[in-house]
Amino acid sequence: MNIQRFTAPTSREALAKARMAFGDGTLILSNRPTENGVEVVATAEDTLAALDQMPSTPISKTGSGVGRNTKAVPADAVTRVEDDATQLSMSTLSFQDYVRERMLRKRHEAGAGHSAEIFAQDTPQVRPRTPQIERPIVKNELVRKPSSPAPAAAAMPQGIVDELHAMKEMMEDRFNTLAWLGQARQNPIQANLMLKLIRSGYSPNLARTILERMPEEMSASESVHWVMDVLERNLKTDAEGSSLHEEGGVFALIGATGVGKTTTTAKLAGLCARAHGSASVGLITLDTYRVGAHEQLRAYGKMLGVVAHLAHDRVALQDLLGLLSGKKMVLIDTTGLAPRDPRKHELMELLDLPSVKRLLVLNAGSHGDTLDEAVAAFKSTGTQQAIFSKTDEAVKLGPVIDAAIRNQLVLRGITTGQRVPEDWETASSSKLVRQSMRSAGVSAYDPKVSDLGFYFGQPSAQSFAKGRMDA
Amino acid sequence: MLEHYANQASGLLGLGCQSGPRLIAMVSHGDERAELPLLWQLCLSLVNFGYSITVLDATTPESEANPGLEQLLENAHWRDDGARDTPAWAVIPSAKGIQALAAGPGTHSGSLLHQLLPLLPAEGIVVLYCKVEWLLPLVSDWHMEPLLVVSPLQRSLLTSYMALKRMLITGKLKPTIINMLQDSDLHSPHTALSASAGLGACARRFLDYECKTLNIREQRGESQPSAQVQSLALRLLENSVTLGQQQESHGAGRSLPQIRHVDQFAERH
Repeated sequence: MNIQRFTAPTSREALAKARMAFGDGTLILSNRPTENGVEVVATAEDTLAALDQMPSTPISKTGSGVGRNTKAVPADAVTRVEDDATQLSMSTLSFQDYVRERMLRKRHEAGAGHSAEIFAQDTPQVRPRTPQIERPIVKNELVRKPSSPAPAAAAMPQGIVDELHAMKEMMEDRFNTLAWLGQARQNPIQANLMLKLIRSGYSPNLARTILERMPEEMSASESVHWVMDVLERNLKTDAEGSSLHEEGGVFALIGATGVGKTTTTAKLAGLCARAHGSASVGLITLDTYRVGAHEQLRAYGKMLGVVAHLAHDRVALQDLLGLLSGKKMVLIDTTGLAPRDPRKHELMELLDLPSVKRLLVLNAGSHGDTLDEAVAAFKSTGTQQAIFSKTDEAVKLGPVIDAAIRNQLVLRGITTGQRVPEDWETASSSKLVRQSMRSAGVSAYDPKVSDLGFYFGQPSAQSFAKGRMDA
Repeated sequence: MLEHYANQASGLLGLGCQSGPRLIAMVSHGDERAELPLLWQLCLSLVNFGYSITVLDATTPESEANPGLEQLLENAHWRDDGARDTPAWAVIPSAKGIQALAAGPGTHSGSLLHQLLPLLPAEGIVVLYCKVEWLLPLVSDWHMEPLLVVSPLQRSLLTSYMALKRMLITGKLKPTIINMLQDSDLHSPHTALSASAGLGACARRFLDYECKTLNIREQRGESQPSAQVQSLALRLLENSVTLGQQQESHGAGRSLPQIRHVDQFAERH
């Protein structure tokens, strides 16, 4: 295995040296600053490929790299794999672990199981065995266990296999993340932008997805503008279409408790009444649970000269929709439900009518995880439309913008205060992104540069779907 | 800020959407046994919804001992004096007053009822309960759905059909037809539904009109109106006419007659 160390005053030069040695298929194994500059450990991709193609010859744990004991150990191969796996999970992440894990995966995928490959725990280099030596061993193995086509894999309990898979994914993720994080740290612009995005409330996942695509050779200001452009482009709004009250139709406002559905309903009703007259608006509430819900909507309706109807069930709702079919806009206020509330299914079934479009109201001040859960819980088929409420109360708009981008929500408007209907604004992605990137002062929750490793060191950070990103 | 905005919905009031009282009509065709309980429950529902109700009861004539709409039209300042003490709902004898309005010289049915505007709470609901022959001159130009109540009585079938025929032919109005059921009727559903079925059959055969009837059970001992009655009340509100808005729409191209009581008030003072 050909692994070489390159040192240079800068990482760029060290990488250039590595590329000169291994060509385009250079694989950077580590990258660390030294007293004289930067040290890069690299190898060629062909080396790994050769490792992958290495025949399934068992290697003694006790043998050295060169004069390794070539005796096969098929009988206790499974046990040794398990032992090895246990040791892997206890060891710190290293390239050796990575290679070992890759080999285990390769062997498992190939359904090899013909023999168990065991690598020396303490040998840094692994060399393939010669075919002349391994063939008879494989043959013997097959002869000994003719009824078992994949002895090692099949003999392993499913739990161990699953564990190995999980370990494999974790190690791959961590390796890739650490490599990327190391590179990002070398680039002050990228590191600062990463920090800025996370401090603004964007998820590390989205931040990394964006910054990974950021072109090189950009100045600091250009980088900032590029990132904001990407965010604006990916935050879908109805800016190019008509607003809600101009479009008209039947809209049901759904969302968690206390996000401001009733107030938002009143605002939309007010906007429609102002544009088309009070006779153009229909109001229905499905909220028979919250005390005073109907009264609240009725009070708004009285001010508008609009009747607020109450529907107890699906039949009543359909009846009312028929009664209000001549209206420009019919707004349905619903019961606020926690995303894990079992009654949520009843509500969603109740609204499962072809003419009813759902508007998900998201509290802009909520935590990112809370928003993700709400979006997932109130998910509907087709394009999901959303309203950001209480943006005036939100210290950071990053989480809600992040959730909208990752879940491909179409933003139909934002509410900016309590006043009905004045505190309503059409959705402007550029305005929201600019607002989100403004520094909100010092916060105890803000990470430092040295904390970035914690954000990306966790395997869970990679488990999210990155979604489609237009970068 | 607190001084400037009375509440968070002050902006809605500024839109000026609510410009006058809403008018609901119920036809009286002599079947008080069914009409009055429903009228009571509807009023109760609307009061519970927070509206102030004024029932113009044109089945009861005004008298000196029991003054009503006629006296209010003659002395509108009475209403102004007592405005602060207006109860949640009021029943005003109105037979003579409505009859006078219906026979009035107005060229437009809307203008006739506009004389009531100063007498009524601006955001309240007016329930006009009167005979169909008095009702039509007052509301025939409006797209409203008067309430027509049917009961299992045979006489009710005849009178309700006559009222329906007048509304459809003379007034071009399509009523909301309610079949009132009593608890005793529930034991004999055929009898209970025969009147409404007969009305539907007559309307279909002679008037070429398809009746849609809503069955409502009369509540005698219950203090709160049922969900069905509440739903009906909201439905009637949806189909009601806002007097002020009608005034604007109808008055766009013509000058409305001066409101009678203002002139009288000016003459006297």
